[in-house]
Amino acid sequence: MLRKRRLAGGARQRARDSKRPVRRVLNHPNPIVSIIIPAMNERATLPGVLRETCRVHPRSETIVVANGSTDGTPAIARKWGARVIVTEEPLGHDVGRRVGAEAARGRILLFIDADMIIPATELRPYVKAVSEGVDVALNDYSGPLEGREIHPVVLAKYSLNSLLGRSDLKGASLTAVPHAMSRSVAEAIGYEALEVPPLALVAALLRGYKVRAVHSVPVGRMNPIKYRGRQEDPLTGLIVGDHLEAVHRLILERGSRGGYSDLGRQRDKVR
Amino acid sequence: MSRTKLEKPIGPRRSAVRAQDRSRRKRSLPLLKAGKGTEQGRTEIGELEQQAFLAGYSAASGHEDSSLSYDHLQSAFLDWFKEAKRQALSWRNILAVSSAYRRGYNTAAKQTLTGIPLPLRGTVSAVVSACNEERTIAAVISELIRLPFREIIVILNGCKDRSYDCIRRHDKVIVVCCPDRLGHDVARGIGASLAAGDAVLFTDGDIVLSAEDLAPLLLEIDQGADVVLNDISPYLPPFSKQDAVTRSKMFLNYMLGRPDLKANSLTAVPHALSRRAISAIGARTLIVPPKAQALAIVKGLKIRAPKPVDVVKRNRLRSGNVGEGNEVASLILGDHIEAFQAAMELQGARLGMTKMPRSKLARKRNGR
Amino acid sequence: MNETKLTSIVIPTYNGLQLLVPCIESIRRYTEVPYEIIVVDNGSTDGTQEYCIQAGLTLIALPKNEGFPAACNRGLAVASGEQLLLLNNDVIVTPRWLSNMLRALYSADDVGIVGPITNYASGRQQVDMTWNSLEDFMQIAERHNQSDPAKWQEVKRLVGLCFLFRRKLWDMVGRLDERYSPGHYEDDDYCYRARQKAFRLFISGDTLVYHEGSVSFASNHPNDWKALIERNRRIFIDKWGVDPWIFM
Repeated sequence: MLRKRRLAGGARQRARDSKRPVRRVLNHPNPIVSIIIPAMNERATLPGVLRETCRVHPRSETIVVANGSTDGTPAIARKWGARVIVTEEPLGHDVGRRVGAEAARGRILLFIDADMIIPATELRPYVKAVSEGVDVALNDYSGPLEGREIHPVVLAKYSLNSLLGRSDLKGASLTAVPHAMSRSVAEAIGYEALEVPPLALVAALLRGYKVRAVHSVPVGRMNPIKYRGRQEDPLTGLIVGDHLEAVHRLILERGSRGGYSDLGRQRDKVR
Repeated sequence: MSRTKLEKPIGPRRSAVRAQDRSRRKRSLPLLKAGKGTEQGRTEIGELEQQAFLAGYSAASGHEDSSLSYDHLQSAFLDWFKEAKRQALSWRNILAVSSAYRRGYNTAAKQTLTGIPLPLRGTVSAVVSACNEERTIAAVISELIRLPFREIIVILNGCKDRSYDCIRRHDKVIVVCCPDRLGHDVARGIGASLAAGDAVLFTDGDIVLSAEDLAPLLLEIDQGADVVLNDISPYLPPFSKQDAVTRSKMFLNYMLGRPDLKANSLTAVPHALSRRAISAIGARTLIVPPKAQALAIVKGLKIRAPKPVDVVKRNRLRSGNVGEGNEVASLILGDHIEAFQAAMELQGARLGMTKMPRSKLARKRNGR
Repeated sequence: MNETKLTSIVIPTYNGLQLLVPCIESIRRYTEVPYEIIVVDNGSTDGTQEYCIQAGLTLIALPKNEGFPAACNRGLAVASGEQLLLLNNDVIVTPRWLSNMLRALYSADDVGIVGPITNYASGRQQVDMTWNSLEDFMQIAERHNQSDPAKWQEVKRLVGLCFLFRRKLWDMVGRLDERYSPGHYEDDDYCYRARQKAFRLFISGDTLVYHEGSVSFASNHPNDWKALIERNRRIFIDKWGVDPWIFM
């Protein structure tokens, strides 16, 4: 239900100053699309993100899972009119996705992050794909490929896809945003699977869901550098380990060869 | 034709002149190539090469033609090398010295022997897997005979062509004929079970590799490595253009903590294994090369990749081997999954990678 | 049922094609249990390799004559069966030969090696018998080869001409000692080592096989043969401190 409200004080000032008109996020009572945004301490970018999400689809809702923020992120989200779920403890964005998906009302789930502003025009293709029958619509961006050394996470994404027989997906993954899926897929694989994105991908593929890489948003280059430590980013080990768990899941469900034939090797010939 | 035996090394120039005077054949002394490396190193290797040349010459002099042979060249070189060697040499330098020795030997001898003498401390068996390779098998064996293998075991399985007839009978060649097709890489397990050497070099019957290409692998495996791989890195396209098989090989190596191995793998030939490696991995596991690779890494075996040997271009296109979606590529992907399973049995589903709770990680990364 | 597991039959041979062919044919005719044949050719020049390939046998073609124990070891290294059997190329097997012997082998956990009775062998496996022709012999064997535990006899030594043993024994005892090359007493040596590991040895008296007993080496070079026997007996005595004759 639309309600026009006069913008208060500073917001009016900002609205006059900014080039685009400020809008509020409109949460449709019967949304088709649920946009899920895990956020922790993202006050700098969240307004820009929300400005775009409200233009993705007329019947949508935006859910900000503001976990463990200390910089006023939840308040900003609320001011913008998003549905806000607040947890005291930080969850990490994968768990945040699960929380948001569980609360979602739309039948199409679009996942993005709060630290980068992606124009609505770049988000709509994912929603469009799912509305047209794709079950899981991935970002067709495969990660940074220049440079002599390949990043282990990029290698892991490519390799998992290949081992699942989907080399065509190249380095696409459910780790990266934006991506969208139908809520029925999330229900079928279990919302908790969303906490470990490679596991969710394996689960979706093994159940025969239609997984496609539909549109490319180069998030690698856009992603602000978070960790400047000398040591390897612990997130790398975590993501790579998740991919190994996914391989392990493939083995559990499809056998020690993941379902691939060994073309009749006579193994008994050797003791 | 008279040949005066060189009593002792005199000095390069004078002995060279004498050799020329004595020889009835119009043969000029080959130039001694200096080795690579530092100035000091180059001088030392250059000196060693000169000594090798003279020693080789001496070894062949005064012998009846009938006793001159690769076996004799090899045993003479081995004896000389044991005494002459001052410090550990790289395989490149060893080959340069070996080459100089043979040149000296050939200069004094009647035959122009092509065998490569190598200072092996132990014995090495060669195992060649072949099936319907009549076009190439003879050439493959001709090259293997140029190396001091203890034995050359050729495993023919399911052969319907004339492969057996094409194998040159040689007193080092053992042929195993299995009537039925054994399947991919099973022959490697059979060969490993049969081989009697301290180490085994594996290659295929459809790829002719020169003895020069194989010699570094023999040296490395003999000098204490457990696993010696072909370094195929120079032949790989950039990552974005690599195929699924190549990426799987890299993925396995990276995940097991060996990014330095890149895409080098026991899937490819030529490679060599020490007896210790064969025991640790198990002959039966060699049937699934990526699994053998995983166990080799997990068990801490010494793995080296000394030299690139171009098998990529020369790999004959077999039916079923073209294009990425083909049967064999799928088999290799399945092999890599078996490899992960074996590693995960020993190291857990995450192979020891962190499972830091995500909340803690989030706090670390986003916390203020 | 261990009897249904694979038996690997290893046959070393050297220029014995005329003997090898009927040997192979008899195996094919009279073996009712799963088996594989591995012929180890010691550098024959009489067409043995071509025959083996054409007959679809697994062949290990050695470049030169390495003697009986070395050839056995090569064949056993490649064998994949749960049971292993060494067979001379001048043996012709008979109805139910292998199933009878397997029953004896698996009659108890500690039975390690089994051998048949035959018309010609050194030691206690030779039986007195008369026959007119090979066909006659086969008929005698057909009547005789009824499985009968009462005819199983524990001994301290078996000849290598038809020598069935468990893989577990191979794993524990190891390979034949190649110092006995070209041959003789390597079977005595192996039996001694097997007994050291607490295995028992049986003659399956319910299994009669034919042994041509070609002694070409002995008949062509009688002095050399005697010298070889004596040398190998010495090797045994030096190893074990006893005379192998006491176990025969």
